[in-house]
Amino acid sequence: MPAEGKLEGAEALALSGVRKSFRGVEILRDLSLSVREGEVYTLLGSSGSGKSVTLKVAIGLIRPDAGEVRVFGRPVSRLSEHDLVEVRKLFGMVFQGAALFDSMTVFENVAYPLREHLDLPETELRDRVEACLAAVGLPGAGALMPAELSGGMRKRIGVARAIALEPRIVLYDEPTTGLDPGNSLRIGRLILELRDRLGVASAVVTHDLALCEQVSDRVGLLHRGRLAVEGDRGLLRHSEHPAVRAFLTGEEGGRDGGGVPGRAVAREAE
Amino acid sequence: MREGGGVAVARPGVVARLGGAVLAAAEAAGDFALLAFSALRAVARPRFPAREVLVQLEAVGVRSLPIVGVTALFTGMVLALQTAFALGRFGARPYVGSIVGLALVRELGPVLTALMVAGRVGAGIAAELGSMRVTEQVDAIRAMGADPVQKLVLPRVLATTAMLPLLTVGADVLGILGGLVVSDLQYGIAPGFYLQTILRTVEVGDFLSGVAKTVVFGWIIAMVGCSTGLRTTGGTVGVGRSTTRAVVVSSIAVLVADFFVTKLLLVL
Repeated sequence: MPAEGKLEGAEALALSGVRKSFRGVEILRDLSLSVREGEVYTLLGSSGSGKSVTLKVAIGLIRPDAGEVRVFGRPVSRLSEHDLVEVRKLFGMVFQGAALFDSMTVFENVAYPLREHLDLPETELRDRVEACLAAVGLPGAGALMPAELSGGMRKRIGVARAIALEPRIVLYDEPTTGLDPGNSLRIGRLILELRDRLGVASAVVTHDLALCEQVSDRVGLLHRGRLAVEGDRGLLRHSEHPAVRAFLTGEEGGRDGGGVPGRAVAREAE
Repeated sequence: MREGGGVAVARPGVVARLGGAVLAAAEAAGDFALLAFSALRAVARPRFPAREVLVQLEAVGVRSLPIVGVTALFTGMVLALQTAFALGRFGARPYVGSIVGLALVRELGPVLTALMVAGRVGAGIAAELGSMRVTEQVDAIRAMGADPVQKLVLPRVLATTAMLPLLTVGADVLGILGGLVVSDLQYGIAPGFYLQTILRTVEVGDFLSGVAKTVVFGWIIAMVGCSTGLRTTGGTVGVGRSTTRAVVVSSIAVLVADFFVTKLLLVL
């Protein structure tokens, strides 16, 4: 079921010629890609290939060494931290480990962006948080602490928090890593639901092939810091591109990018 | 070791390692200064985190009372023992209160309180912010368009800077009380006389100079804790490293600052 007319959406997020090194190790070298409104773009890549860094560059948590990030056509990579606030309000980000605030209840976690940016009366705030929790299938979970949640629930609360401000772009950093198949499918359905209901542009970073097949309108493969191939969700099944083979089999000749060392360095240096 | 390629990496010489250490220290100092500056600016930012400040005032102040109290009490007691023992040689034992009072109020109260708080609060701040850092909670704050300095650093710095002087006043009182008990029970110095000697020797200026120092100490402890916490890398191991570093650095910084601040206060 290829995307019917979804590719017509306007460009929401674009990276062009992005480069980023950590301590002399080049993680992204000349990466260009774009995500349109109303589509789910899945960026695949092996561990350490720079997928998470790509998302963090997109939302301005990491500044690129070179290249440009555009959000709805507006260049943002040179903005100050202060000016980035307005840009970030357009984003929701689901972190790999959910990154819920341990010291706060689920309710306060989801309410966090609302309290930060809107002056809502408490009743309205309550309604909006409850609506977000219902959207991820966890109504009434507000009183729980993050430590009381299972891995799957944490991720879903992470999604609830990411959509609280009604963002126009949602970034998912390995949304299914560490989840069982049932929970992974549920997260996949959630991603599609948010696309259809809110019409958001979604960028999913993962190495979960099942998720990729389930949600993608378009797929890109990150290899050695560049976008090696791009196509529809069947890309991996059909492509004979060496980067695709390398990603699927773990075998490649003369490796210099990718691999675990890159990740270690990136984590260390961020 | 992590730098680029080349021969130097294979076998880092003494000079290279020394240089690396100096660069790392300079980087840490630079980060610290930048953080201190942003924390200062965050005071005036809209959406002042009043609630978080209250939470921290309780965490830093109220919950440090027991550890600070016990420390002060026993310090006062042992100080009375030692002072009385030493004064006995000059036949001046009854004046134990004067020396205990002065020593506690001018020096031991402030510094010991600061060291205990550095151990308890400084470590706590570094561990909490360090864990938040490695679990991407700090990134999450930024991703939601909020400022980690305003949300995390400012409340902790304000609370610690405000609470340390108050804790010190409590420590002064308890220390003097400990001295009183030992003087009375061990040496039969009447409590009334003990307190009189203190009131006659210790001036308001002594007391104030002791308390004033702790404003600086409190700022140091919280800033070092926040700065090391936010610089944490390397998962749970890194959190442990940051915690240790925060306690070591802030304790030493308190002792060094104590000398210079005291010198400054004596000149003024």
